[in-house]
Amino acid sequence: MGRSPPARPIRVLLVDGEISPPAVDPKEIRLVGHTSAAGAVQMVDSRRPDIVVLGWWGDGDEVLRLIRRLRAAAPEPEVVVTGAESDAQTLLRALESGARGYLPRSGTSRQLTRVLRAVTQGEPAFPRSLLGPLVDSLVAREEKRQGALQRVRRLTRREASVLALLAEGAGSQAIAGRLEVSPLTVRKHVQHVMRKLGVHSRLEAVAFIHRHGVLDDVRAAAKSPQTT
Amino acid sequence: VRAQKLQPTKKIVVGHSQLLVRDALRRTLAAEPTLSIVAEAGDSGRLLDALNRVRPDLLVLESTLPVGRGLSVREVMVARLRSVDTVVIGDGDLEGVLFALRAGARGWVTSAGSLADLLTCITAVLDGQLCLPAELSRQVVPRLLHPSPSEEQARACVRRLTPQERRVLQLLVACHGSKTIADELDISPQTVRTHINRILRKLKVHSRTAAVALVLNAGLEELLHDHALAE
Repeated sequence: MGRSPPARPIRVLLVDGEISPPAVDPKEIRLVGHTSAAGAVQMVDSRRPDIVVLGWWGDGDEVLRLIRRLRAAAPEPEVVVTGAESDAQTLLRALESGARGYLPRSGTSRQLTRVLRAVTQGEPAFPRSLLGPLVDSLVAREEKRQGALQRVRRLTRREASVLALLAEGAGSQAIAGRLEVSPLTVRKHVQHVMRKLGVHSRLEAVAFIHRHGVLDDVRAAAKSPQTT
Repeated sequence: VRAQKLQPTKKIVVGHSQLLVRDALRRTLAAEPTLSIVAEAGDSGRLLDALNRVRPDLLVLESTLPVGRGLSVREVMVARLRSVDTVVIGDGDLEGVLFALRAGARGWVTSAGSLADLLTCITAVLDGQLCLPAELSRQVVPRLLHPSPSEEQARACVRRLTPQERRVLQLLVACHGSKTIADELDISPQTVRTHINRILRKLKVHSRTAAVALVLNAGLEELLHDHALAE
């Protein structure tokens, strides 16, 4: 002990999640609410928590969508997940969606407080045993992204514009209208795009840029004043 | 863990420029029955020779091992770290750590650490784990998770800010808190919060610190002063 007391308790909102009551020291952690997924965004707005603790249910897809929605609605409260499978792939998906990580399943009040304090400082939280697998997945993801970026760089400005519009769901007609060229020209561009990305359909081309997170780079290439 | 005791001695190669460090490491490892230093090198060229000669189980590598025969330590890392488990000794420079991890390093011990730290790290890495000082792992994960946007992308993001948002961001970069910013711009702290939330969304970052870092890293401060530029 001997440390100076914290300025104020960490305000925590629980969303379909649990922190076992005996583990919580009210001077350190204040539960400001407990709600279902449907009420989460509104509760964040009215209770102003520092941290939202989310339970994990189903295959996690709904949880990840909720994380993204919470982050988009108000970037200030941090989001952590509790009760999920402790594997690197699930952790990575949660982190990519904007969560800060996992709360330990069990632990003393002091450990929990330390993790939550670190999270309010913007630090990631996850079990130490996952560091290796997580860094490995991140490095592998980065390499794939680099490969994808190299392919995107081969696109001409026009091809990048076509791809950006494809990614927004536009068809040949719409793209032709937007770029003021004939639908036939658009098809030619699309074929070049597919060849350069190494994919075989428009759907795959769109999936490619989302999977590698390079949509912004495609948009930048479409706007860049350089070569065509 | 038990079974490992029965396994044959692990062969270690050390690449470090300081004889003092190599000697200390050799003495320390002499007490470990399962670990044995089979080769040492004081520069990158000699290290590559040693690696070609003995195919070790583990490499202990100084992050700033001097150039040898025109070969730099980074070249050795890229060429070899995927094929041999490596513990790097270096300072806490994040870029250096990221470079080594990307090349395939499995452990990092800071130069300020002790021989005991190094031994713990060696054991963990031989056991198949990744071993980083806590301080570094806290920084490494966010950096790998959110690759810094190219300057061009950052510039495009900043251009989307309104003049008022630029003023707020400019004050954030100058290390002011919400209260000071509110006073400075003569608006309520709640409005400042709203501006900051919009700024974070437009810059696609998750914290004020990340927003400031983005501006500074891409050298975009002058763009913020240009309030008239926004649509």
